[in-house]
Amino acid sequence: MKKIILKDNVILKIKEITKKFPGTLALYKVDFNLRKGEVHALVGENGAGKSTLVKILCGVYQPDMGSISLNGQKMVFKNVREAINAGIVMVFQELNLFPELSIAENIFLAQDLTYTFGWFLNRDIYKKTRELFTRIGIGTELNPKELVKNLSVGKQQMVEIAKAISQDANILILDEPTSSLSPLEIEMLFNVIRSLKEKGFSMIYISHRLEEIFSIADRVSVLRDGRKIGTTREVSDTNMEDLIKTIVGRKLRDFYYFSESEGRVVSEVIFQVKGLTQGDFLQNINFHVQRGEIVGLAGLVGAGRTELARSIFGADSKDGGEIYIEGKKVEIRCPYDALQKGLAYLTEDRKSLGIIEEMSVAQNITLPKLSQERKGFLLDQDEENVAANSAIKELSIKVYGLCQKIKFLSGGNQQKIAIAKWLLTKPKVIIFDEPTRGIDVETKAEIYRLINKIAKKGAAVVVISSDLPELLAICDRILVMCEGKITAELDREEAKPEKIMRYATPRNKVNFKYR
Amino acid sequence: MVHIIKKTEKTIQFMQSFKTFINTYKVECSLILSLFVLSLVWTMSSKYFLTSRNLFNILRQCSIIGTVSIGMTFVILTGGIDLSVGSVLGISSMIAAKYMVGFGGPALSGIVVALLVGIGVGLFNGFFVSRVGLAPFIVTLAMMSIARSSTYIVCHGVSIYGFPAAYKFLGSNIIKSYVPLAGVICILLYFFAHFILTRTKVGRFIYALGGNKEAARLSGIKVEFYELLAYVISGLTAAIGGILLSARLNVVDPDAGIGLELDAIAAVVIGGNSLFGGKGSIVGTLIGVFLVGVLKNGLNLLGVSPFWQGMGIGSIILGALVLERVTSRS
Repeated sequence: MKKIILKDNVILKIKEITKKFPGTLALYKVDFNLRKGEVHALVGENGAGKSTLVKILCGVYQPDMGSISLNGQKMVFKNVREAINAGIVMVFQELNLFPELSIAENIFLAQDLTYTFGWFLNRDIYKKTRELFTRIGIGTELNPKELVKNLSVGKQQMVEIAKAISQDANILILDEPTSSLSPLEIEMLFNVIRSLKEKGFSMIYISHRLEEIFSIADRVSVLRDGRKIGTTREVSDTNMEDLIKTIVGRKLRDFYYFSESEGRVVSEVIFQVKGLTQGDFLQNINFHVQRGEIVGLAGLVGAGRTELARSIFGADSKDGGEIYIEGKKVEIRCPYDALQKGLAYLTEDRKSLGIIEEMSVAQNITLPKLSQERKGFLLDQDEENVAANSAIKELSIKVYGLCQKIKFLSGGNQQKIAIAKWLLTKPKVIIFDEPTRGIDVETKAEIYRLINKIAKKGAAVVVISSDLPELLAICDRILVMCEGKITAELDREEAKPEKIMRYATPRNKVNFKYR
Repeated sequence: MVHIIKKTEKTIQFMQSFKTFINTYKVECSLILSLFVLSLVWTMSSKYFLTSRNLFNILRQCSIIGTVSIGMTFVILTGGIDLSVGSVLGISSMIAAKYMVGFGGPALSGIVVALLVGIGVGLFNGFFVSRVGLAPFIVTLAMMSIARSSTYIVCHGVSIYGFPAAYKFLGSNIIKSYVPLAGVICILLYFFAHFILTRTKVGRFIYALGGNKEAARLSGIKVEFYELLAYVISGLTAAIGGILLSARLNVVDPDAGIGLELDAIAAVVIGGNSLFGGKGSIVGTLIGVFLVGVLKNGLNLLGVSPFWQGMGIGSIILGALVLERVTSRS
């Protein structure tokens, strides 16, 4: 057998990978390589293509173009199983474990040695698990006989990693591994990662928390809009400020500042939240929005923005706090109350919360309106059709007919309907949660214009978005949230991507040990 | 010439609206077609099938299960299930019977008593499902047991019979003793239920919450209220079913309605209603009821042993579901 000599120790090489989804180009000619025994961080904004790239690596998606080579050999992964057999494993959080089985059973389940004759639990697996734990640096922290359901998320993740190693994986993909871990667990995870690295395992590490990257990664690659912007030779070649700049990009893309924004008149405060608290998720939130104003809520995933919107809207209960609309204090216990008080909330998850798939276009559009009108028991089909038709025209929604089921429409058109149904209720305050996620560029522009129009008509608008350039382009003011608190309030002039990122990034979470 | 063009335009228009009609009511149309085919088979194999006497007989047989299936449709449209309808039918008619026979109550208030019992049980089920958030299957299973047990307690395990004439009238035949009044009431209730489901807010909200409860709630609909309402309607129609049955038989047996919930669920499912909620129609349920009724009737006419009849019904249920799966996939 010919021995392959690897240049630079590169074990995984991705060349010119391109992946298209309907309406979006998720990846365009992305190159990426991974060395033996390195932690390679992959960073970028939401929608930059990180997830798509790793999903291609672990066989979930197939690339439209480009090649993957592993140890110098070209590989095609038709499914997840093939990628695992080749030694590439993605570590999920909690999802893939059986809660009612022990740690050892979970780790060795896929392998024949768990049960003797396929029936009797093989006692050896406990010993094997202990050996495995020692090998990868988990040590004696975990008892192999413990049931997985009794473990914290962080420890479940350790089990996932151990499981991957036991399947002879040599490349691990960690996607936001620290997003729900406590500082102690993060430290433990980092120890495991370091110990794996010494043993020659390679890891792709995706994270929004940039300071982690400087403490754990060897190299870092930045993706933006499906393109790779660059890879550092060493992680120390860059610093936080530069990295943020690279991620966001200097230009605010092809965003049009609203030419119409002058037409908006920002006048008195009509919406005010005072001291809103909800468990650990929201701590003493105070803010206000003026008539005709568009306020952005920026923050990382898990900062508490959606929780804030939901508790304002009455979808989740709150522990304390007051809400004022037009100077009057309002009690909102459920979304119905919110609707009656003139609030509207466009949900983040359109498919499962924003629309009712089995219902028609017209039925979806008029749903909140029907609930809002207290009088009347009968449906007025004509009135309904007129209302739906005018909404379709106003928002230029592409449908075949009013009776068409909404599930057959494109995501962009569904989103427009989800917005249209709230416009029909003439809201005083409207909260948009990720209004353009997963939507094509053209429709995005229409939605921005629409949001502006709504504000112009005198509503107070709150926009939650993880897309920073988007917020910067459409908002008059930006509130930054981090770990359930509002950490900054920035005017349009003050709001710069770097500044927002700084306020959005959790501080002092871990005592990082820089190497 | 112009005349002809106009005519063809009209035909095309008609064809198009016909097409959309077929598309919207795909399930109902295929059900009617199967009912038609089944009737055709029975007509050819038995000379007694297509007689007015037999057809009214089918209507009479279908009226009880049909009435109970109305409420079941409402509950299933919300994505729930009501296993207690058979027991509710028993307890409501039993309490009414006790009231009329044991305490000499008049027929009209006897009917009101039965209806109130049905509504009460519906409120109980609905409360535990929508407010407490328990699984409908479990809540109504418990209620099925409780209501049946209460029936035995009320009557000490013996049948009650001999109702006022006005009460018995509900179970009689009208128009030259030909047309079963219960069947007429059942059909009228279907019209009413169809109206509620398609022309009122209640119906719209029930479909919405069955389609996606959380999305409906976040659209500002009081989902708890409408879910509760569905169970109340189910209790109510089960009680009406109890009244119609006891009026016809002039007796309430403590075992009345045992296993009825399964027949009702079968009819609703055959009628194209999705057990996951949000999909289906009351028209479908009506056809489902008749499909089972006609099948049973034909098998009886042909002298097929009752032991074998379950096979036919089971096959229809499976067939209907397979058909639905196949059509919804394409």
